[in-house]
Amino acid sequence: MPLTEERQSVFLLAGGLLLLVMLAGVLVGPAAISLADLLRALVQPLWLFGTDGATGTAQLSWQSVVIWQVRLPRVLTGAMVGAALAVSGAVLQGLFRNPLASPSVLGVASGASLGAVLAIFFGLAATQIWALPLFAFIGALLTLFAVYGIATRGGHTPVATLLLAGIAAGAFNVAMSSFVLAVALENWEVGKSIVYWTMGGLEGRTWDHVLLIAPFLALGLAVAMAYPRDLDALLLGETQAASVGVDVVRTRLVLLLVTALLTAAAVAVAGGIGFIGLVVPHIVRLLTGPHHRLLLPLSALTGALVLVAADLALRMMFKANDIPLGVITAALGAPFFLFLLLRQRGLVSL
Amino acid sequence: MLPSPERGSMSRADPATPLLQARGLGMDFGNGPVLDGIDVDLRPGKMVGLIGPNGAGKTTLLSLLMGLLLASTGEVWVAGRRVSALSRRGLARIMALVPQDLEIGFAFRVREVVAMGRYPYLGRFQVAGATDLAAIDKAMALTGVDVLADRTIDTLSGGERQRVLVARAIAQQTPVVLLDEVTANLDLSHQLEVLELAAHMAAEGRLVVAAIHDLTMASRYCDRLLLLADGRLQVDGPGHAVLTPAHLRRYFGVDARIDDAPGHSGLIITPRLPRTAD
Repeated sequence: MPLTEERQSVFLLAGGLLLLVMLAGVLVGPAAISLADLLRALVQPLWLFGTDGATGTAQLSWQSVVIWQVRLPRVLTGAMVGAALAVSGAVLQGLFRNPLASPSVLGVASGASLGAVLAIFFGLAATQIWALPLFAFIGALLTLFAVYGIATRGGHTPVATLLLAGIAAGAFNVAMSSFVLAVALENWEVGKSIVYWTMGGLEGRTWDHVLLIAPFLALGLAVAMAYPRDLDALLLGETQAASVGVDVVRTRLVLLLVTALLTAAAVAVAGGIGFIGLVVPHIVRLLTGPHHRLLLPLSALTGALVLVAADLALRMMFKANDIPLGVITAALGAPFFLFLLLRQRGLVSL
Repeated sequence: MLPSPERGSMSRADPATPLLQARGLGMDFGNGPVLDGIDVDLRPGKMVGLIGPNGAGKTTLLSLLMGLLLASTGEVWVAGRRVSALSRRGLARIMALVPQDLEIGFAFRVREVVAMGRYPYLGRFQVAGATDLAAIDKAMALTGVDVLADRTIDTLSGGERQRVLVARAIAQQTPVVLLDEVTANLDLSHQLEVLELAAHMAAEGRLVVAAIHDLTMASRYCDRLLLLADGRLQVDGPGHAVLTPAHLRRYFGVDARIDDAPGHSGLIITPRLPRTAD
């Protein structure tokens, strides 16, 4: 189906808003930066000069340094984390035919956190850049398959069981993370880095973080975008999907891997940031309808928009002390989740 | 060989050779056999009714025919190939399914649901072409859901929704169409509409296999009935031969009076509970 003008305008709107918010994210901060500074910085990219070379830095204004070393990586990391979480949520909601599924509700995010905490605890994260995301991925994957396996009986996955299994797995993951932290506290340096990391957020994110998440986001998004029809058909049920030629088992396996990958990448660079994966696809679905060909890319754009905006709002409201970003997404997302639950219950009892 | 794997036309269906075959088909989920020793040959151009009491194994048989379940024993063959050896996509070009009344809680438009019938013919990034659009239009016109094209599926009545799902099966252009209790929740006029469409598909040369509870409707619309009870195929034949007082007594546990229906070739079945001895 070709994109109608109406749908094109939704994409343009979301894309335009995202660019605006990202622009604001670069300009707003403790050090005042003007649009002119930004334009000047963009034509003298820092990486061409090297980040530590004295000659390079000497040629750059302090505004350019702030833009290239602080603001841009922070905004880009935020955008990609938001996109990864939102796409992950959209895919999970399609796979499970349920708008209440999400990486955090299903315990996948806390699984990724536990993996990351273990990587820090054993000192692997400090020496190997790939250790933390790899452990996060393994944690996310194990949790996802455990929750799914526990909740599936005879080919059916009842939503109530799924959510309960997800909550149980999440609680287990959080408990294990706390246990590791408690043990780690004997060594204050390790304990501190775990605490710092667990709180989540975009503070001090660098190009390393951007480069870490970018390939995973690109890969995850590319694979997910190959399955919009399969996801659409799955919304009618597994038998229905199979009857129009969807290989349900394989599709589910591939897409579960994709969501674990996206969630793990997001958690690895930004820590625990909840509710984006739950709320964003739900809002987007209200605008576009259930088609995944629109839902997935628009969720990516909107997820990026929401997270960059939340980070921006946080920086503007609490200038001095850093409140973790995960706090604000949970503070806004949790009531929304409750609203969804109550609304769904209301519909069922009618 | 697949019957025209590209666009699934039925023109080459030969009424003499069986299109769908089961040999020694059995299913055991671990608590004793649900189905046992099913042998059938089903030919194109026929509407075949699958009847039997609740728990007889009708749904399991349909799932095995569709390759949704892996048989414990025996094998299903469709168009000369083992069902277990075909991909889901390959199977979806041969067999379509119209499900039992399906609640769809997502706001797909009617046209989009019908278009799902073309998925087996489209590559991952391929957009529906002229052939696909023509098949969708034709199926919607035939089932009368063209007037609902832009409505969302979650706002339709049960009868309308069922016609949309029939339209999807027609758009799929498969030589075999399976119907799973499609009239179960429909009022009389919608039952007739859906069964007429099924009969039309059979008249066009498709093989239609319909699990159906209503024996009067079954006798009226089906060319052949398969009576399933206790996991076995008990009786197989035309309506008059299958629907006898003795069979209804034995397999359904009812006393029944059976009359020729005036005006059509079916039967009128008037069941009542048997009088118990004490």
